[in-house]
Formats: sequence, C-alpha cells, structure tokens
Amino acid sequence: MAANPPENELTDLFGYLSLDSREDVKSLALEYLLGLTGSVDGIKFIENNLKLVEKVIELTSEKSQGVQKDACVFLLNASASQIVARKLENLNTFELILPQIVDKDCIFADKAAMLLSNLTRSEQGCELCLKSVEKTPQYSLKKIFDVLCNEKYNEHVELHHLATFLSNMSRLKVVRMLVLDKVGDLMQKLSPYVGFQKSVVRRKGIVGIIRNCCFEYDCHDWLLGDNVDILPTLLLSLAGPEEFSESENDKLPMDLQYLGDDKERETDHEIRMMLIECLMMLCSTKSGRQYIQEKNAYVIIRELHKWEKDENVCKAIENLVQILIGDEPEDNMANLHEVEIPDEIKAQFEQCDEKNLE
Amino acid sequence: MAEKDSLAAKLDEDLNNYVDKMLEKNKNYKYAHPLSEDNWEEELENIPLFMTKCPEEVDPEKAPGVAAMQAMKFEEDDPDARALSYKDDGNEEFKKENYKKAIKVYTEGIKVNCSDTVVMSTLFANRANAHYKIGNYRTSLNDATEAKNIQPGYIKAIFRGGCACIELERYNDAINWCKEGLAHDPDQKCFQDLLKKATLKLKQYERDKRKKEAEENKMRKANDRLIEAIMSRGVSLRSIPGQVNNEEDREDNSEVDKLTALGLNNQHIPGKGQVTLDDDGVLHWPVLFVYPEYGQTDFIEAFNENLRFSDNLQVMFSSQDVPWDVDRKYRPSQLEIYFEDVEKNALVFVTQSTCLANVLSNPRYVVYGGTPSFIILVKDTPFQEQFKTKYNLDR
Repeated sequence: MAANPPENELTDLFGYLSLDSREDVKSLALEYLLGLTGSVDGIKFIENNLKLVEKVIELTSEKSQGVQKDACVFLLNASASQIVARKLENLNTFELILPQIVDKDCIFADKAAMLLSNLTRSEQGCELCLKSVEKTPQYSLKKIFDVLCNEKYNEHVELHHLATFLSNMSRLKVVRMLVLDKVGDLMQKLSPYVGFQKSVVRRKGIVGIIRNCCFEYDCHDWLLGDNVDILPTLLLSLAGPEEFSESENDKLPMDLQYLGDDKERETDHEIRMMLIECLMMLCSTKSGRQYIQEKNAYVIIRELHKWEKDENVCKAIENLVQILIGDEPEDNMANLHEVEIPDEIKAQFEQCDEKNLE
Repeated sequence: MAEKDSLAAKLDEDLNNYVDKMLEKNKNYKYAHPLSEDNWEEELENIPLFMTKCPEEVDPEKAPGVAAMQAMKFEEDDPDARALSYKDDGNEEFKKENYKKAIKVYTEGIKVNCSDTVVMSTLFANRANAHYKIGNYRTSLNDATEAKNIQPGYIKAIFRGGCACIELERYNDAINWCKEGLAHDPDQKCFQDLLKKATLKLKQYERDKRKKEAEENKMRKANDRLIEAIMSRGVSLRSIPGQVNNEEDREDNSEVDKLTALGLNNQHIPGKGQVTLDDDGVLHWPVLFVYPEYGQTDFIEAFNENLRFSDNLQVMFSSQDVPWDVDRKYRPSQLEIYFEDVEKNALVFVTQSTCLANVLSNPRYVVYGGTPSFIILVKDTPFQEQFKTKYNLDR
C-alpha cells in the first residue's frame, strides 16, 4: 500500500500530471495515484488535496486512451468518497465524461458510466449533470437512453451501469417526462430489459427508472394501456413456476398465461421491492386499480407472497394485496395518492411501522 | 366495230379461261380459317377489326390477330419501356381483381430483366401483392424480399413482406419486417399497426404453445401416476395379441408399452372405458363380464378396485329381470366367477366376496388391452360342467 507523500513531493506530482508532460511520466504518476485509492488513508489524503482531483480531470481529455482510462478509473474509485464526489460534481466532470459514453470506440465507457452513476447519487448531482447535458446538445439525454437501449452500441464494454446512472437521473421530472414521452417510444424500448437475465445491474437500473416514472400519476393510463402495456412486464418478473387453473390463467395477461414449471422469479429482492412499489403506485388511481384487479394480478402476488423470504418485501406485498382484494374506498378517496392524511394519523402509522420493525 | 366486238369476246373468253384454270388449279384449296355459319358472330369478335369490346383473356389459338397485336405492344426495343409497359398492364389487371392474370403479366415484365431498379422492384412488389391476394403467402414473401433487395427501404414491399409473414405464422420475422419499415419511416402508421398485430399474434402463439405443453405435461404426469399405481399393485398388463405393438414407430420404452397395453396411448379420454386413478389413489377399472352360455356380455365402465364382485352382481342381477335370462337361472347367489389363465389354458375360480384389486394382483391374472374380463357361469348346470371341460383342470 502506498504511503502518503509529503508536501513537497506533492508539488512534483502536480508537475507530472500536467497535460504537457511525457506520457510515460503521466502513466506512472496515475498508477501511483490509483494505488492511493485502494486504502482509507489514501482516500483521506485525496480528500485533503482536492487539487489532485482537478489535475486528473484534465487528463481525461488526454490523447492516449490508456491515460484517459487510468484517469477515469482513479476518479471512479475516488468518487466513492462523498467529499470527492461533491468536488467532482462542481467541476466540469460531466462535460468531460459524457462524451465517453456516446463514443462507440471508448474502451472505458463502462468506467465512465460507473463514475456518472456515483456522481448522481445525490439529487444535487443529478441537477448539475442535467445542466451539463443541456449545455451540449450532441450528448442529449435522449442519445444516452438510445445507447442504453442498444446493447451492441459499444463492442468493447457492457454499459449496464448506464442504467444505474439514468435511474438516478430519473429522479428529475425533466428526465421522467422524456421517458414518458408518448412519441419517443422510450418506455417501450426500456421495458424489455426488466427481464434482462445477463445483468442484475441493468435490470435494477431499468426497474428503477420505471419505478420513478410511476410517480407521474397522469401517465398511468398510458403506461397500462396498449401502447406500453407495462403490467405484464412487471408481473412476469414476479411470477413463479406455480400452476394455475384454467379460469385463473384465462384472466391473466396473455404473457403470464400457462408459464412453465421452470419459470424463475426475479432473484434480487431490491428489484422485487421496486416492482411491488410500481404496482402499488399504479394501483393508486381508480382506473389503474380496477385494471390490475381485472388482470388477475392477485394470483401472481399471492404465490409470490408464499415464496418471498425477505421481510420488507413481504410487508410491501401484504399492503398491495390489501388494495387488490380490499373494499373500494369511497369516491372522494378514489385516488389514493391524493388522499390527505391528517398529521396525527400519520404519526400513528409511523409508530405502528416502528413497532412492526421491532 | 366488228373488230372491237371480237376483241371484247376474246378478252371475255380469256378471262373465263383464266378463271376456269384458276378454279381447276385451286380445286382443293380451302380457306384456312373460314367463318362457320353457326357462330360467325362469335368468331368475328376475335378479329381485332370487328370486335365490339376489349378482350379479357386472349387465346392465341382462337384469336391469333389479337395475340399478334398484343405482342406488338411489347415489341419495344427499349427494355425499360417494355418492362414499364408490362407493369402498367399488370396494374390494370390487378385493379380488375384478375390477380392470376396480373401475376402472368408481371412475370413477363420481370423476365425482361431491365436495368431500371425502380421498375424491377415495383414489378416484384406488385407481384407480391397479387400473390398475397390469392393466398400464395410463401411466394408473396419471396417477391417482397426480392423487391426489397433491389430497392432497400421500399416501404410497399416491406409492408407486404410483413403481412405475408403474419399469414405464414412467422411472427418474429413479421416483427423484424415492421421494425425495418419503421427504421426507414418511423411515422408509418401501417407499420405501427402491423407491428401491434404481429406482437399480439406472437403472444397468442406462445401462450398456446405454453398451454399445450402444460397440458401434455399434466397428462404425462397423470399417466405416470397411473402406471405407478398399477405397477405397485403387481398387476400384469398385456396388449391384446395382434392388435397393437406392431406399429412402425414403436418406441423402445417400457412406459409406452404399458400405456399401449392399457389402451391409453395418445388418446387418453378419461371415463371412456379406460382405467382411471381417482384423487384418493383408488383405481377404477373397466371390467367385462362374459356369459358364455348365452353369448352375452356386460361392460362395467368403472369398477372400484376395492369393491367385491358380489357388490356388482347384486346390483346387476337382483333388482331387474335380465331379458336373455329366459330360465331365470342368473341369481346372484347362484353365480360363479372365473378368469382364464391363458398360459395354462386353465379356468381359475374367484369367490364372490373377493375385491377386484385382490384378483388383479394375482400373479396368474393378466389384464389384456386394459380391460379385465371374467367369465360368469351358473352353479351346477350342465352348461357349466361342459364349459369347464374345455379347460385344463384347476383346483
């Protein structure tokens, strides 16, 4: 593990890192810095000398791809630290990194995608990123979504982390509205990845995007309608190998009917949780609720509940079942997300939840 | 004047002579295509000069004149113009819904093999449409593919190809054709609609496939359970000799053999004279009672294996009169039950109070063709005595 260098050597290091120094020198300096990111002390040192980060950012526009890559990996590792991430957000990192994503030949585009997902963990990061994107029309969000939807876009790397990045970004209304744009077909292109077997990262990102989009209650009818038909996609990941009777099958969406005894459920409990949350939100409008009830979602959820081991997911399922087979609320409360809950009752609920958790 | 007269007479004579000579010379000549007196009006219709309306179908045998004039139309030197001309004629026929005719004309046009790719691809695309109209989907798809290859991005051809794929139940291909169409023109409503149709069809197709598999699976499991139940009871099964087991595609599989022996192969219709296993694990056999004295039989569709013979005989012979039992001999208490041991040619006695299951488990008992059968005789009658002599003695 590399020891932290004394002050005077640091000044030398800055020299080595400047754009005009020799390539092999830069490589060596970067290699040393990369070593630093492997230890807690190293990260501390970087936090205390944020000037280093600024220097490395410059190197991402270096001619040599090797140096670019090392610079990017260093930033990626260092961005695990909140302090460094904050710093990076406020520098022009996004403008330098976004082009790597849309560059078909970039050999470290996956690292760039991971860095972007690290830098957009906070809502503030997302907003800063959005500002950068808006400044450079050639790297529009639409373009980045298209890259995500095209698995063969960059033959060198798998850009699964792009899904995480865009999932973070979908916390912003502008991004959600882009995904939900009826003309763009983006939602239709994203939804097949809900069952993407090859990468749990991509699945999680995609389901995250869909979950965030479900907050747009006005779009529920469109999401559930013929054009997107999101319900079978969500349910299919939650369906297992259980056999249903003919009448139960006939009521299900066609994609869910007569699944074989080798059908597997989503393996990741966080994704299952998000899928349940999607259904929960889609159930909050009266029309959505009735549609989901009609489509016999209950039997899928019932079998899921019997199988589910994760306690939190179980609780979420129980809440959903309450809605699916419970009595319809009065007309003035038909849209659950619009119901105002008095503060004192809210407090009682919170108490209950806490008790349950104990 | 006289000179003039004689000259005129000579000319007349010469002419007469000439005519006579010609008549003599052409004595055997016949006009090649004379109008017959019976249907000269109809025949005139085949001569371009006299015809009153445009011909629909041209037969060069019947109407050589029309055929020749038609051929003249396509005798343009420029192949492009010729192909174009065929295209227009084909389109005319297509409009008139003469699709077969249109196909012929387009084919002629394609044979010209002109260098104008637009005309060539149009000929193929139009022929694809005509083939589609008369249900030749395979050929339609080939022509659409050809048209698209000649002129990439040709919307009409791509659309026809997609439609043909749907009819051919190649839904994934249809979806790809639609996507190709949308890639060239994302706003084409026809492709959006076709894509929706293809996707729905694909879903239906896959659902039906899954359903079929599930049903087959279920039946296989039920059969396994049934065979397992029968085997665990030690029941011997055999096919009726000469009836089955000589099928060409016989699999070397004991399970299949057993199913065949039960008459269950391929067409298991529960409750149709075949052994069934109920939810409590009890077998119900179809059973045949044979009354050799009168050449009569009784068929019991489902004999619960745990019931005794007496239970069935009671029901059959005490409540109502049996029409063929003229001597009123067949009283439950008078009846004796036997089964045949074919190998030893023996008749084995079964007491009335035995359960069916016990008899079937007897190593000497063999179920032929899935239906156990028993011989019923009346105690102490001459027929019984005589009948038993046909078999080897058994205790």
